Amino acid sequence: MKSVFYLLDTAPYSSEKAFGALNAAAVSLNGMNVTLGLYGDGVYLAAAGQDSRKLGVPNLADILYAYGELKVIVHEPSLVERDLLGETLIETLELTDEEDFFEAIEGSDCLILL
Amino acid sequence: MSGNESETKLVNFAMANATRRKITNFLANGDRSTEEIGGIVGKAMLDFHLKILQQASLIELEEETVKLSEYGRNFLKSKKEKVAEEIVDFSQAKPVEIAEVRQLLPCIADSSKFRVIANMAPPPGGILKVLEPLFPKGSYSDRTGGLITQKGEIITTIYGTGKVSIRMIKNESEAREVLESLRNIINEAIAKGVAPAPRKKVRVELMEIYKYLPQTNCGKCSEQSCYSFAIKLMAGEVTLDKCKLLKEPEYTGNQERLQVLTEYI
Amino acid sequence: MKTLTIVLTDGPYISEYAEIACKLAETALKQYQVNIFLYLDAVHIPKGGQNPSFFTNAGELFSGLAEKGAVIRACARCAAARGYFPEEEIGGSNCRDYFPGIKITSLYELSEMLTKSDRVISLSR
Repeated sequence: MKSVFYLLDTAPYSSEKAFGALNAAAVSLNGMNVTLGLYGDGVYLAAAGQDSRKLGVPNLADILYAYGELKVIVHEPSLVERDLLGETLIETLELTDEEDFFEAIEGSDCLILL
Repeated sequence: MSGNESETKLVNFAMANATRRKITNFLANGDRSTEEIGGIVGKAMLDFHLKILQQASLIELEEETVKLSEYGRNFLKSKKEKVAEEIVDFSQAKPVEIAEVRQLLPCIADSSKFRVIANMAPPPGGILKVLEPLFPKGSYSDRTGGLITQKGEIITTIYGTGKVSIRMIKNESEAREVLESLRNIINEAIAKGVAPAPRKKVRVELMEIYKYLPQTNCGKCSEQSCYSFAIKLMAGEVTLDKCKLLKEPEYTGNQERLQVLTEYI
Repeated sequence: MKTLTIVLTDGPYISEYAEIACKLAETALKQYQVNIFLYLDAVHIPKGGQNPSFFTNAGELFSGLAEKGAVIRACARCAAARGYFPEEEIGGSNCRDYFPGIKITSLYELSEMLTKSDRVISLSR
């Protein structure tokens, strides 16, 4: 495999999945082209200004900033459905429409759903 | 959130997508039919994109005709004049403080090193671009709104929202040193109240790029040699990801270095 | 020989994925190299001493796969969080709570497996 697409469709902090996806994506940067796709409730990870100190868990937005070379795409229709259109989003992310999102999946050698 | 603020966010959202930027640029030269726009950006997602542009009040839809709104026209124009505005803003800039160092994460290129995330307050926002000349190897990216600087091995990125990410750090105290010096450089400039004189971009030498390429002339990038690949890179005719070998683990360090270098081209 | 990697994130019994993965791996092993990476809750699968009333023992299934040559690894962070720790290697396993043949390794192993694979299957809810 030369490229991998991690698909995240669950909200951050509700389960370990978002953290797991970020970690797996980060280690995969070593030797592969990595894309992390946020879909469905996964798009909540795109919101800026996350503060997880009271939860006692790592700040997931910070992990996105730390691994700036990780390509993260956000499924726009999911953002629109959740009325996140007017929210401030993390600036390193790329917004993609339905077509581009699926093109990115198809263009990757493998798809890993967490 | 004031009405004005939420409006700006809708506009930012609308303009954060390549297809929609294509549409607004296309409309800048005159009104178009939905048919014509579909011909340029494809029909499948057209309604979706037009709806978002309309919600941001950037365009107006009449029957089958799409045109830029008065607001959209001003917005596109103001984008071009933005640089001048930011320099005026500079005298209003407030000194920054490092609010907290939030977490250490492993570095990918070198497992003995870390990445660090810190917060800078107040968020530097638009003044970042103006600060670029303060750093000998600084480069501002319009796309992410981040300023990348490099000192020795350490690569630092400051984002407009105040996030600071540092790569290739030995430990937390080294991170604090880097952040301290960052803060001092920025605050000195702010204290002067005058924007630093813009400088010419750092010149990236062809040989420096070549030095970090695998130099195997494997031809997988469909260039004859790594040297000709370097020339094309300098000319902006190819992108770094065309070099397949760089993705191999043994070249991770090289790739990270080249990524930074190519930012300056 | 071509390589198949299967990535699992579910614990045993909560879903059918452990069993499905096992069947896939069993068949694939006849012709291919098979890797299985146990991530998140899937690190529970190889735990010894399972005694399900109505299901096939998932730990035994996976131990059998390892015996047939499948490379099965569990993520160290996920394992530690759930009380499984790597120690000295005995019987092809470095965890005393695990069935033989299954080892705890770092997450970087996942990246290694993917890089060397020709096909990747992820089963997750």
